[in-house]
Amino acid sequence: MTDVLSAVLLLSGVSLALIAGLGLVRFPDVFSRMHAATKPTTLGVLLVTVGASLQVDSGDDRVKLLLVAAFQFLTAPVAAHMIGRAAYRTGAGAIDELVVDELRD
Amino acid sequence: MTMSRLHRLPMVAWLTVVWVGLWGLPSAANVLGGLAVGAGVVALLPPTRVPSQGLVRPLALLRFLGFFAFDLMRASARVAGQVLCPRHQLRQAVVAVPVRGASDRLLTLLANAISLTPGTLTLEVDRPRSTLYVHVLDVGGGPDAVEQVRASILRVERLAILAVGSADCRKALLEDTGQAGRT
Repeated sequence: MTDVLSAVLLLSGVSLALIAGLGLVRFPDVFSRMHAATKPTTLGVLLVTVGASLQVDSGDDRVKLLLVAAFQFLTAPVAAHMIGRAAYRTGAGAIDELVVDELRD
Repeated sequence: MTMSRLHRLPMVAWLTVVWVGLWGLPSAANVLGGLAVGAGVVALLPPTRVPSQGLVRPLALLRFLGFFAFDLMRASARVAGQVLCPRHQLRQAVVAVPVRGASDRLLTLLANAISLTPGTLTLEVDRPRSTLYVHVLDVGGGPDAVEQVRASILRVERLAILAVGSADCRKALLEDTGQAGRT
């Protein structure tokens, strides 16, 4: 039963990572690629760590997996924010393609 | 250690916990090593002193986290759909979200929650005007599409204020929504 649950968790996490990779290729510009690369991965990493923690035996390995998930949640938004902001300020993100831009006003 | 440096102790404690977690066993050597490394890091890179910003309300924080977890899954599915259906034309936008109450803790929590949620990304934080500028992957069609996105972010803002906002800010919010009817 545990094996099935952890297999489901691991495979869904991995699928999200795959989708993130696909999005990186398919999306047209910096901003949309940031969305594809950073977001599904966060949930993906969480699912993989939960799935893996069902398989490991020792408590201290679980603590390590918990730290992996915690640091993913702490660092991913900061990195995404900095790259997005830099892309906007330098004009590298396709700003002309925005339907609405309330920051320019 | 002088009084002015006492506020660094929680940071040293946190770094020690992480250190021991990474090594696995809470043995004396690991704890002492963690304390030494933590003290060294804090001495070399002194953390900014953050003024106290009132208490965190645990129940409201749990509600915020629960809503956030739900939002994370729903939005992940939507972005996954957009990736797998490439013919769909994305309508990207940058939306200004005014935040009631400007405590740094609230802005940080909110900006990070928005950035972590698929489909939205905090681009700029305007602290003096307490406004977040959020990049939205796909606002969808319709005349009030932008307003709908703003409203959904303001729902998160409301839960964040209830969890970590200052007492004044929370009171103002409750009076505000009391007049406008519960949303």
